[in-house]
Amino acid sequence: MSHEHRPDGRLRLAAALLVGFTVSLIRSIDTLLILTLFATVAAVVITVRDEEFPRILLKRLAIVNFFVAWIWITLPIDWLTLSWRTSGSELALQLTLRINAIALAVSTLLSRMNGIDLARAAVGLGVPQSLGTLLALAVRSIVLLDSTRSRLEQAMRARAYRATVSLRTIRVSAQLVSWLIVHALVRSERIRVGLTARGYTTTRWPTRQHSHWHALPISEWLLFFGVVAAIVLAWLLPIIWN
Amino acid sequence: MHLAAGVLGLPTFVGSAILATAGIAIGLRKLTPRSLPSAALFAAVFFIVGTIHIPIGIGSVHLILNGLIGLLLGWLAFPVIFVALVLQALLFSFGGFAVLGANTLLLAAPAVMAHFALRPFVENSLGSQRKLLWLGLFAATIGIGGAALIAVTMLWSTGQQALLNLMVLFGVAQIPVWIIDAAVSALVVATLGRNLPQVFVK
Amino acid sequence: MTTLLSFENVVVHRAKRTVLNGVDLNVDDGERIVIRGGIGVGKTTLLLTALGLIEHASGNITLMGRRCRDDSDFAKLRGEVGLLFQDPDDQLIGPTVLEDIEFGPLNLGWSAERAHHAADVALDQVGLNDLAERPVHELSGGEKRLVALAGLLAMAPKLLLLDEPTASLDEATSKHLLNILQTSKLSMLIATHDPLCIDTLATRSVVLQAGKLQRDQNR
Repeated sequence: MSHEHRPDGRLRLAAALLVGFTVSLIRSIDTLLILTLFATVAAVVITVRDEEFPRILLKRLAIVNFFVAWIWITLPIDWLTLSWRTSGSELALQLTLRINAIALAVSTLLSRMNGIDLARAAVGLGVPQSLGTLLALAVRSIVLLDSTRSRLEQAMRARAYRATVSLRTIRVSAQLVSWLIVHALVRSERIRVGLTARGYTTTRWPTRQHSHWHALPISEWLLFFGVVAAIVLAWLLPIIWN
Repeated sequence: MHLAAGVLGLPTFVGSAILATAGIAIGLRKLTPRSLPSAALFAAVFFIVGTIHIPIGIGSVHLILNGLIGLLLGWLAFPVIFVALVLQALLFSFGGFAVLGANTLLLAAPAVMAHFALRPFVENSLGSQRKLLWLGLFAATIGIGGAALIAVTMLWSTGQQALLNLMVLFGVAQIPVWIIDAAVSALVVATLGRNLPQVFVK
Repeated sequence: MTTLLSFENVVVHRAKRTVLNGVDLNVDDGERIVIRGGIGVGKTTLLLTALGLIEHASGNITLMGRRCRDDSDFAKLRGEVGLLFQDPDDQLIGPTVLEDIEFGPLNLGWSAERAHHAADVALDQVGLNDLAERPVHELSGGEKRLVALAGLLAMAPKLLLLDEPTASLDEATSKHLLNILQTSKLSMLIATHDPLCIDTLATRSVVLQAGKLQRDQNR
């Protein structure tokens, strides 16, 4: 898909940042529960449309909930007296819901965006062009370096190397990192020459300009205001019920 | 070493975002068309080293090397680390988008400190493997130690007493990270100093 | 006649494609077998599978007389088989030439002195004694290929797996490398199109086509 046809992710990114910011500040368990529920429903909807999404989402949830597990081990339990702390358990629940609501919502909102889309969206929201360019180039660089690192590790295994608990493993890891840095520097010079040969002289990536806000599809606007409405509703509902 | 979204309070959230933004702005002023490809590659290096795990018996430790990155890049470490964290959040959900400011600050600020504290000694150390090893060790100590200190301060500033256990656990968990990071940083600095000394020369 | 490597009906899938579709192959001691085939047919896949670096979906692989099913089976035998990658940048970890060549022997648990001696001998074999302290990233393409080969020879393997060993080399360096391989008297499985390599080394030639190996009608 050429960059002309990639989704314009400005509103999605704005919605993701809004979710991250507001949910981080909410303390009401009821509100957080409702928001987690909303985010879960949104994730299920995406799952129906995108086969890859469940696997990616579950992996991310596993990572964030590893941290959540540590929260439950440390906050509710007083290990000195081996007693249960109610205030600790309430805080642990609050953090659990916040972290999962944010993970679900942000994963869902940014589900179809890759690093380049994110860079464009960020620049469209006012992030400096040079930072957007750095982000876009970094995406490509990660692919290149990661492929180098995989092949190097394969070659190391081919020469009977196995990582163990030993000083040798630390030495070899240092060698690998050193080689990646050397490789990066040598390669960056070749990339710079290649870019210059194609007329690149600034820190601005040559890409199409963003369309005007009013030209964005209605669906994107509905999505953004849907997120705003969900947050407001989640805040209001407990008040109404109580 | 990432803080998860939802743990920090509003003042810390906003304050760290402002400070991180300032650091990134200063770093971007150092970015030129010439340095852009290498900065992007260093962001890739930082991203990838975060996926290198070193076994330590019951588990493994992943490398951070923020001190080393700072030693080599100075203020550029701010936008480079920020970009790597954005991509980690996008691909792995480490930390998360909401706390990019806090995570950037806790990793990049010590990186820049390592640069200013140690850079004056680098050129004089280029002839000595022992001095280069010590430089790498100090870079990692400032990098990991500084990050742990900032992270614990951020958690403490939430005012939640119940987080005290988490702060202690967080601090203690950084000890094996520091040991491994220090050893790897020391060897990398020594290797680069021997084989690619121009990376340290302004 | 000892069989060093044996494939029995080996099937390998990569990226939802069946690359090797029932490969049968024996490499006996003393043989130097060339594998020919078009671009993307799976020659590199076959070599990587032989060392367990890519999993085989079905079939049997026997290496040095031992059946190998998973990575732990192959890992014990990797010191006896050397794999020369097509791109030496994928293989060299450095930082200097000598340290890179010592890497393999040290992985085998050899002492530092023994590894150093083996590296010196290997460097001598490839004729690059002068480059022992040179950083790996400063080498030319041909020098990197020779250093990569030295890194394998230092491990004293019984079998070499070579992926396009003369690719991108000039004629003089190609001849030098082929001479080293011929002198080594090692058994080999070589993926190549180079006529000089085939004429110099091959005792037998096979063609990889549609996932299977066939006798080379041209040889």
